[in-house]
Amino acid sequence: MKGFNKTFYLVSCAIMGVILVATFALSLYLGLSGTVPADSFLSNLTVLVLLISMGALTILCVFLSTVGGKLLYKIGFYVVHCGLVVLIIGFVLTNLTSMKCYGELTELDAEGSLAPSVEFYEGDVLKSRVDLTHSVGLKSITTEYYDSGQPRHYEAILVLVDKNTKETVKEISVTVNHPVRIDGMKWYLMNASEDGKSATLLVKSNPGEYVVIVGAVTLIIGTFVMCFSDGFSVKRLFDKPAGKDEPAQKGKKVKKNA
Amino acid sequence: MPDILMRLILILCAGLYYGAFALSLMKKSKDTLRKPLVILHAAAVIVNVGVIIYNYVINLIENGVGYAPFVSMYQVLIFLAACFFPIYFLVDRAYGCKGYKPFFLLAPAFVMTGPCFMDIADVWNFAPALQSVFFIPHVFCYMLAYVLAVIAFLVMLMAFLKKENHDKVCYCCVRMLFPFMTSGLFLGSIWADQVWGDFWAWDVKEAWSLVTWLNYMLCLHLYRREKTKKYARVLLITGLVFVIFTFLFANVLNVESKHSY
Repeated sequence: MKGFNKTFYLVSCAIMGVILVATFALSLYLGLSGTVPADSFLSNLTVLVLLISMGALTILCVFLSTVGGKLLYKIGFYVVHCGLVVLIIGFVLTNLTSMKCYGELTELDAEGSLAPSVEFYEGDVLKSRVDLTHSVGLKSITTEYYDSGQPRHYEAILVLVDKNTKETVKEISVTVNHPVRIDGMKWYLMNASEDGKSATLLVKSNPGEYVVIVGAVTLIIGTFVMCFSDGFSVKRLFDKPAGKDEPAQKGKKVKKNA
Repeated sequence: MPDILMRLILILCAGLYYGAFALSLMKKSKDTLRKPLVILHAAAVIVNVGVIIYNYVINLIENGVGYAPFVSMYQVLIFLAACFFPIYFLVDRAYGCKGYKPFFLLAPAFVMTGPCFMDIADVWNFAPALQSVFFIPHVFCYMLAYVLAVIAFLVMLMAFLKKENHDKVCYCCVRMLFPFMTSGLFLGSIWADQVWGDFWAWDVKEAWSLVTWLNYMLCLHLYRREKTKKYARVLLITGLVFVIFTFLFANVLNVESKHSY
């Protein structure tokens, strides 16, 4: 049983290594060519397959490997790898299920119109169409510029208008770093037109969003716990005075002199 | 403060670092020259930290709260130079800096040389995308990680030249580096979702930072086994190459990128 486990362990570690190197090579290629997978001969499918196999093998390797060291290190080890798996699940979910829609809204006073629904296209094909509970319109957009002419601040005020009574239900402010949630979809302000009358908005529905965030935060916390648990603990720093625990090197020097 | 005075202070600071470096190379640096060396190093660090505080105050006065001292490449480099000292202090306490001291002095000296020739008044016009709570942690984590990557490489280089075994210190540096690199990468990812609507877009700089991250991840795994330790040293070299590429590729070569601010 033990022998079987060891072979199994070595094989899965080897496959993990191959997959890591493949991911490595993929990102290296993308970094050098400056393209995204969808635009190059590599499709998004390659990335997905790599991610899924990496997640599966991480789980396998975690079960097979024996973790030594202090309790904190062990906890960190499991937290990190769980976080990584959750993160990979989140990225795969995002890749498979998220939908994006870019659109331009013009100010209502400047003959802009209300958007009653959002249409998600994939290429030229209509993928899905979501009816909004209230129509969305752009009430106003403010732009500020630096002296050099570069943009400083964009703010758009969106209004939610009741479809039947045409009354304003709510006003929401969107700025560049603060997207808002309307009907479970995130609305981003991407850009403002030069005349300051219309805004480019991105609407995104992404069911895997929170999975990614949870995974990323777990991974970050885990690496801190794991990497600062033993080898470099605060206690170690102040227990041993500097330079008294390396007899091996001193021995070498003595030999050289002799 | 007039620009010329500031430039003199910067040159003084770089000079102090170079002076300390020159002293640390001398044979007597361990006994008779020890005190002057410590004083020079301390003076350099104090001047450096003073400049950072001055930059911070200036940013506060000119732009208001929320501007850390990283509003231009000039301020970023000054901050980067100061990051070497706390790490030097920690490594010294844990392992005793046997012969590492020159590196910890030469590296900040190099970094400080840059700002001496830079435009002091130049301030980045913060695009709306950059005005976020993630800006400071993202930049700060990456700076610490890059400093540690440089040090890990230098220690490895010294071990190679002197034919000694310094794996312990290299491993310790990589272990300090990795959490910061992870935070920088994934905080950046969360930020990208807030501002561009994508967690990951295969931007040039993103792809390179992923390569760097995977490199150090492999490195950490290789250090865990006695047999594979020697391969980890190779990854320290490639790691530094990737770090330099990530840091400079998009910004210097003007490749089309979302990160070319």
